[in-house]
Amino acid sequence: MSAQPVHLDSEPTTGAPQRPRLTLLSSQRPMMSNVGFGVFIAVLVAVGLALVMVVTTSVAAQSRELAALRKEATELGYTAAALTTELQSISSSSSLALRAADLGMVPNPYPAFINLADGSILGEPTPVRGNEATYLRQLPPVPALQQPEPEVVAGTQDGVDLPVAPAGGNP
Amino acid sequence: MSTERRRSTSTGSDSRRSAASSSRASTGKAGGKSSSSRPAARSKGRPTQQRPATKGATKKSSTSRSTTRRPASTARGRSYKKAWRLPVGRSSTRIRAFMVVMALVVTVCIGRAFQLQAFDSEAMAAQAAEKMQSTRELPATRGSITDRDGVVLAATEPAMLISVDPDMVMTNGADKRYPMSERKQEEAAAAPQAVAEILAKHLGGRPSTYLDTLTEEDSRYEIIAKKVPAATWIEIQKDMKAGFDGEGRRPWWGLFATSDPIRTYPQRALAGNVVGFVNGEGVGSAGLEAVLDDQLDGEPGQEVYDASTYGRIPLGENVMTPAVDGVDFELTLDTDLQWFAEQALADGVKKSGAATGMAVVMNAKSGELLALANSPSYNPANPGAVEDPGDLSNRAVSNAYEPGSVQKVLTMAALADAGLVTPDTKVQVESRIASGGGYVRDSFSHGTLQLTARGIIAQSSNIGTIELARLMDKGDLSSYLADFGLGQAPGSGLPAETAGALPGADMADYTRDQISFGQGLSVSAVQMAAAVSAVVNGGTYHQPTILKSATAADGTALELPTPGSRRVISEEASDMVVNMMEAVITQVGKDREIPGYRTAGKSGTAQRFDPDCKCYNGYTASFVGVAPAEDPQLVVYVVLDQPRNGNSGSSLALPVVNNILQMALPRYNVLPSTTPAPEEPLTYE
Repeated sequence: MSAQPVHLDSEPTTGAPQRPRLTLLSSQRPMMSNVGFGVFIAVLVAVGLALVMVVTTSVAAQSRELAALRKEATELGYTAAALTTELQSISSSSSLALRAADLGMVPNPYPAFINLADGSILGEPTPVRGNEATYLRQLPPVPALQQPEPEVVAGTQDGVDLPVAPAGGNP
Repeated sequence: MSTERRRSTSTGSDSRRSAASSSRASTGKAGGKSSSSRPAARSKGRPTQQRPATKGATKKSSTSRSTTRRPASTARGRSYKKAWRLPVGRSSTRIRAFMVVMALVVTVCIGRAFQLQAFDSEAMAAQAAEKMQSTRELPATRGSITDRDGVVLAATEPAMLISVDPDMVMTNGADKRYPMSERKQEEAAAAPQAVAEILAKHLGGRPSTYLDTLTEEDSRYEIIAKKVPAATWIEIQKDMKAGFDGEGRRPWWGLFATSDPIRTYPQRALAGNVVGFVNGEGVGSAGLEAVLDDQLDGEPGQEVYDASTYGRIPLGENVMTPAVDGVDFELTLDTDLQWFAEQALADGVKKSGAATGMAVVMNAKSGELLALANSPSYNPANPGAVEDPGDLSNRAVSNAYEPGSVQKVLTMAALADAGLVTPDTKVQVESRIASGGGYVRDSFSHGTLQLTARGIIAQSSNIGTIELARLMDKGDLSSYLADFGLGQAPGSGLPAETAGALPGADMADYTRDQISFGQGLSVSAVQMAAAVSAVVNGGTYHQPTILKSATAADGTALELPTPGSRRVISEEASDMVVNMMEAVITQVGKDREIPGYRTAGKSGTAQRFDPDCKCYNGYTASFVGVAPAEDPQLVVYVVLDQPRNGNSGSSLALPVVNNILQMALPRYNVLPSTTPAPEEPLTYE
């Protein structure tokens, strides 16, 4: 780090070499006083802590909200599953047949088709008399539509006959 | 630095010197380097001669020590603040000893830290993580079973096993280590009755039924109910949260729930023998539920997450291995047609007084089973209700029986394909025929008849069939029947298939005579339906199948075994046999047709072999129907076992077949026949 003197050709070579005068520079004034700096640091720390607190609180709140939404989704899924089971049961072949019979509907065993291309009718359209396919109208009663029955264990150890509500208690 | 050190040294020696005259013990403690360097440091930034001079002069003026010291300071023209010294001694030995101890402590600490981090780090980390981590099982949802149109036959609904902590109910969750407040005592007294009423409201029964369980002494776990629909559990939870005041501020405690899924069968008993059921543990025990159990079951998943006393830690580690739900299976069955078939079969069983019945509806061109009815059937949701455990099986594939005269269709097919028979082949049929040291007769008494092969089928003549069968080599006949699928399990995908029994080429002559008209061999209903399909569809055997498709939980289609197909007889031979079978409908008996369609068929009335007495006991009445006769698409085969109101397949099983065909043909858009059924000779002059 030692400085080397610079020799210039134009410099007069006569006499002793002149060195630049060293002058004392005033020290740089600090931009901020010590008190100000302390306050700045304190504010910085306070703001940082506040931010951490806000973020932490926000994360906790969102976590709670997420848990609540998950729970709600689960409950809605349970309800949807129960309704799906009920729908499947209502739309089963036996249920539909029984409801159709209750409405006085009679199966028609005489097939007839309309040819949409030319409007011709294939087969012999025959109105039912009411005595067709009687075996389909002597149906055994379809069990009432219901949720699957829970197997209640409590109270059965003593041989108590436990009547279970047909609707499973589910509104 | 060197300046400071020198100053501190001189200050130390000054103090030692000043203390020597008064008390060695008190000054001897001020020998620390750190304490003695302070005055020197302070003296750098400020004129230290003012403050210490005044203070020291005031404070110590009365002592001889300060008197002794003052001239020295004054002599130099400046005074120093007195060094603040810690009374820790000046013995360098003590300091060294202390440092050694500290070094040892630090070394031990570093060593331990190194041991923990370098050697046992994984084990320790795992142990720490284990303490903080919670694991939750994620059960897989069992796959569903649907029909060919997506109608659900078996599915899984979320449900719960509800348990109770009686101790918690009786205290309503109070901490028993502390005395209960009056308010808490009030809750605890009312809790059992209130919880019992909630259970009775949602699960049925009376509150008193639950009360005993809820107040069980010295118990922390009792089961209240299993298979409770999850939606019902949600309702129970709501009432529990409403609590004492009904506003949720004083909830009831003590009920818990764990997952206990329900297998639902929305179609009730429909196709119950095919679908099967699961046991209390959710494992398939019969039918397709059993044979497909591994694929239906799926793979359970797991969730591992960080948790504390207060629940899950936000932004903590959370590793989820999702459950892989079971495979969904689509069957070839058509639930509506299955329902028609079951109703018609139940009607036939009731009218005939049969012990059991079976009905098979098969797509003749593909081998797909469209309906597979058993009577009696059962509701898979309640298999324990059956009186005969045999009713839990699928008799249509598991029961082997002698088919009787329906077998003549296969015999004629083999003969026609071999060029030995045409529908107009003339046969003189005597009143009886010798076979195996005895005589075989027809089911009706007659003298000598002159029947065509068509007439033999129409009249169902055993004697005529034997005479024609004797034209064929026994090995060839056995081979044809094997090609029709007899003597081997069909491999339809259903469990417990019987292979039946088929005599080989080395059979006795009388056995050949017997099997030609349906005795001396055994089949299942599905086997026979598949064989007749092969005869009438142009001569190609299609392996019967019940599984249409399988879909993994991620929606990808899974490959199923491809059903085998093979040509057994020629199309000409197939047409000949259909021609013979149509005569059964149109030229004998009455009321055998169905409106709008030409049909063909063959009846079977077989003596029933009873394995208990190893003798013939009772009958098996059957009928196979094919429609439309001009281009067979559907085969319906009905078997009534041990009928009590007659034994003829034509009178007992034929009406069932026609009832099913009447519903099935329009359903599958089979257009009504446009050509009249042929009237061709059954006899000859």
